[in-house]
Amino acid sequence: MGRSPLDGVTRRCERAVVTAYRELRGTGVGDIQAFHSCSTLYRIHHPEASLEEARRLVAEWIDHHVVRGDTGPTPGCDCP
Amino acid sequence: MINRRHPSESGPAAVRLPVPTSSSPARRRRRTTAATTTAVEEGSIESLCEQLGLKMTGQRRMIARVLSSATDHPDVEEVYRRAVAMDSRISIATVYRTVRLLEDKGILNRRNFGNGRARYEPNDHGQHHHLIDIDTGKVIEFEHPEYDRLLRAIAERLGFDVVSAKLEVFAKRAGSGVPSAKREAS
Repeated sequence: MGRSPLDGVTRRCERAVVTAYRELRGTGVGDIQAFHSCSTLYRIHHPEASLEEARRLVAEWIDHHVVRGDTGPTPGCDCP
Repeated sequence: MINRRHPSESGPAAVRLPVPTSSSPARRRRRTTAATTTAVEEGSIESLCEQLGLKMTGQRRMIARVLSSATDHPDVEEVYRRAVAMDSRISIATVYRTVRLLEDKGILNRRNFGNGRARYEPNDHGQHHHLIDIDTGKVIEFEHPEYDRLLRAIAERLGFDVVSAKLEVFAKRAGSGVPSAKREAS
């Protein structure tokens, strides 16, 4: 079985955000709308986060995993 | 009072009014920089990034050029729209990340003009203030040396030196709040 690009991602919220972004884009949703949907998704996991904080992390994660295809660690919260 | 410029905040198709002669050299340089120019101009955001040792990928370079050539105060989505017109592969996430990086490095200033969207401008053109037309969202930059002197005098009286002061004036065009019939009658 092949290795998933998210295998090294331990945070549930990060996996959810990156997966949702990929799937939304895959179904033809525009970039801005998909990005905002993922920011909302992040805030469902982290209601304590501000919208600004959510956008910052979501941008980090999407740019890291999807745009650049990196597999290293990312900044973010301490959640499992 | 010196009016620095009259940019529209409504997007790339915005009307660009003549540039007043009071603009700083840095801003004049930026205005002559087409976003598609390949050479790195001295004083541009791109060259500042290089001076700070930031890794300049192709997309980061393009975002820097979009910001350098902006004569208004674009928000992230507007920067994205301008960048995507040049390279459809660019992502809003990359734009967000780059803009935040430039802000963290002190290359960009974040401004909030009251509609909940952060807008950005290069941090290289000296002391100036903004007047925001609350009906149209247009932002007018201006300098007011007397106001700056007054602020310094107030701070001095209180035992301080002014480090930074930004005035944001939210205003309606004179007479626009009064119904026309009433205006004619008065």
